[in-house]
Amino acid sequence: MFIDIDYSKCTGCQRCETICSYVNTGIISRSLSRIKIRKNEKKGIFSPVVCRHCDKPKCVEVCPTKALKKDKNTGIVRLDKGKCIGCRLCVKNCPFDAMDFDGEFPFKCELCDGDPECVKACSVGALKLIKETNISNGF
Amino acid sequence: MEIATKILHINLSNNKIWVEDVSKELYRKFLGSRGISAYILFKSIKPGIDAFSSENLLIFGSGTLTGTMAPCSGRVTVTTKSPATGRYVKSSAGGAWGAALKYSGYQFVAIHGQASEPVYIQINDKDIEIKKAENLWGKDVWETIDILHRESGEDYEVATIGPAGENKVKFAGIIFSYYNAAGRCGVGAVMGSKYLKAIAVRGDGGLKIAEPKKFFNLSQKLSKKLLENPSAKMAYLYGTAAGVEGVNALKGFPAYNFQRGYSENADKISGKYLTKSGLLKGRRGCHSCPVSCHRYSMVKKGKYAGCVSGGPEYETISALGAGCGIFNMEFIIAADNLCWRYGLDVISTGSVIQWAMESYQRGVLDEKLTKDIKPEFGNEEVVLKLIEAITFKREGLGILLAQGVKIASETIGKGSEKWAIQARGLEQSRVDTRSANAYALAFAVNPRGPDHLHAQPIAEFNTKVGAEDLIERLTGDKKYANPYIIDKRAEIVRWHEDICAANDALGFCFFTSLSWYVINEKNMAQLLTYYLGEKFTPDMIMEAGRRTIVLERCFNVREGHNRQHDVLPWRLMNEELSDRKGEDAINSKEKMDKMLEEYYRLHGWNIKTGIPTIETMKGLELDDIAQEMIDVCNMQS
Repeated sequence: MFIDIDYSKCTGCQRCETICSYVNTGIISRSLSRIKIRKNEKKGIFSPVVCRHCDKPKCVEVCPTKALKKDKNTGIVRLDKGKCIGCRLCVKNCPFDAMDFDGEFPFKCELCDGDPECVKACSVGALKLIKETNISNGF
Repeated sequence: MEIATKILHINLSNNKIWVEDVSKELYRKFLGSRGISAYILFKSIKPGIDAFSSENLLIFGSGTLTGTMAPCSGRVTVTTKSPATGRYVKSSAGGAWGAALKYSGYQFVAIHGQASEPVYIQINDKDIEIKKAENLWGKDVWETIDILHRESGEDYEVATIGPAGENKVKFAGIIFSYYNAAGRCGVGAVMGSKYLKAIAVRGDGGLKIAEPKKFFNLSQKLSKKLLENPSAKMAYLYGTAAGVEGVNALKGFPAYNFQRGYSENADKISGKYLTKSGLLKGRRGCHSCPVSCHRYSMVKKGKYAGCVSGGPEYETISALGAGCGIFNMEFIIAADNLCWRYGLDVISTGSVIQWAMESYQRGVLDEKLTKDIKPEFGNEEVVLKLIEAITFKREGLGILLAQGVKIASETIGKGSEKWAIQARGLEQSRVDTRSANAYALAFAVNPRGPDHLHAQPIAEFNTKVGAEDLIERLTGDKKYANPYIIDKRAEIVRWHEDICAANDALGFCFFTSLSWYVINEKNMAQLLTYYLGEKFTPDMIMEAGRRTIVLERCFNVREGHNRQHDVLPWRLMNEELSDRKGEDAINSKEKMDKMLEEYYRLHGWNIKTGIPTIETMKGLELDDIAQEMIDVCNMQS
């Protein structure tokens, strides 16, 4: 399961960011959003950056405490805060720059337990949820 | 985490920086950016000051809901005393600058004083710096933003002026993040007069809502409703230029400096054409906008290859295209490209150029003045040359036109005032008000000058979902949904004024409440209640809108405004629209007088002077404003 991105459709409105940060933290903030729109306003190019739930996730591979784990059934890569020591190796090693750090823990998209709010909010159809687990969206 | 209700004050004369909280009382009375900025401006500056003096104030205000997921709530207002009109101006822009300001913890930035050398302001959360801008001064808008992104980081949203603002061209605007403009009334020239090149802002902070669940659910519901609206769908597909063909069919699409209201070739410069020709490269949404009416266009081949535009919008197409007798979309993108980079208001730029074209056509422009430029209608090269000449105030036409069409026509005389399409010093936006009476009234009483962005009473055309019901609610009968009659225009205009003031204050795009009629006083009250945790009712929303209208009017009255200034450009009041002819083809003084009197009566203003009575001010809890009007303007209570 992962979010497929149609870059040509993104209009850079950032509504996904406001909704993601609210749903995950209760606060509306660009910096706390799990999805971020990288904007090249000058050229009219908007690129959503979000966890791809890779087949062989780098973040899982580098995590020294096994706090990050890929769920075999859903394909969702999740963080267990109980095991996390905040070393940020995962943030550093994510090839897509899709992880961030809130001062205590790293954070990333966990697909809202399979029903991502950003996908529902994207009115232009740039974000789409792919439910099949046998399709790869990343490494 | 908080809800960002602070004003960041910066005095460029002495580099003093201080922060002020906005009181609950001010939110109750004025709701947000537009009204609160107007109130600060009224209280802070003395009447009669030069707009370019250090005493003028320049206030940036994010909407109260800006930064949230409320749909289409990303707008920022710029408020100051206008150098073009000598009056109050609120100009607003979309994009994401307003949201970035909120995330930094502030809702407003008020610029006082005047720097002694070029500076820019960097807001990085709570770190505020006034920095030297020697390397930026003289650079165009895009170069400036590029440099600031390189120096400080790409996540800064930048508001900047171009060379037009630096040179204090009377219609220079402020450009936000490359392609969003607060264009009107010379707000960019005021910024230039303060030697302030740019404000770059970013913030890691967030907004905490009093009742988040309710706020979130209502925002989602409204977003859905907007997306179902047929006009919003058209706006996504074809941008604001979706309106070109429709307005043209109504004979209200200004061409050849308002000598025509209909163009045979309008289909060559429409939103549909932009899309189908392949010039459209992408669609753009302002912060939290599910609709995305903004465009990104590029010319790939030919004479104008390489030119890009964050548009072109409906207004641009009429102002730089049809108005100049040019029906070439590639050229319009090229001319728009220059206006973006130089930081010029496209409406006024097009208007002064058309005036020069008509003056040349009628033989009143001296060749000593025009020199090698022969401003003929339809000449693309001339338009591009004049945009340069105006921006850099070149000898001859450049210096003349940079003053705006009012001063330019008064300087030349010879009857050219009659085709100067301006009132109160502002060039009219691209609607031929001779084809619509509520529009005519709204433009005549607009505090910043004749344009559509303080009240767009489109309901009178009965072409939008909900328009007929709204007209019935306001006037008692559906039959008043007719732009050719003058009865009940006052009721229609006043409602649109009130809702527009509330809409602006909260940060909504004005299409949501004044064209698509989806955002209204009821859901505004709910959203604001959930956001602030203070009870707001629909009546409070409309009353705050009204209070703002009266406050803005008082600002102008204090500067000498009265009923005689509530007019439209001479041509529209004295010449019939050639494509229409007859009763419905002119905004005659008789018709205007009747509508104005009804409007003043409805407002509780003095019918002879058009000035709000002290009683009306006090009825709206504007007691301190009333006292000022008694003290300064010798008004009687």
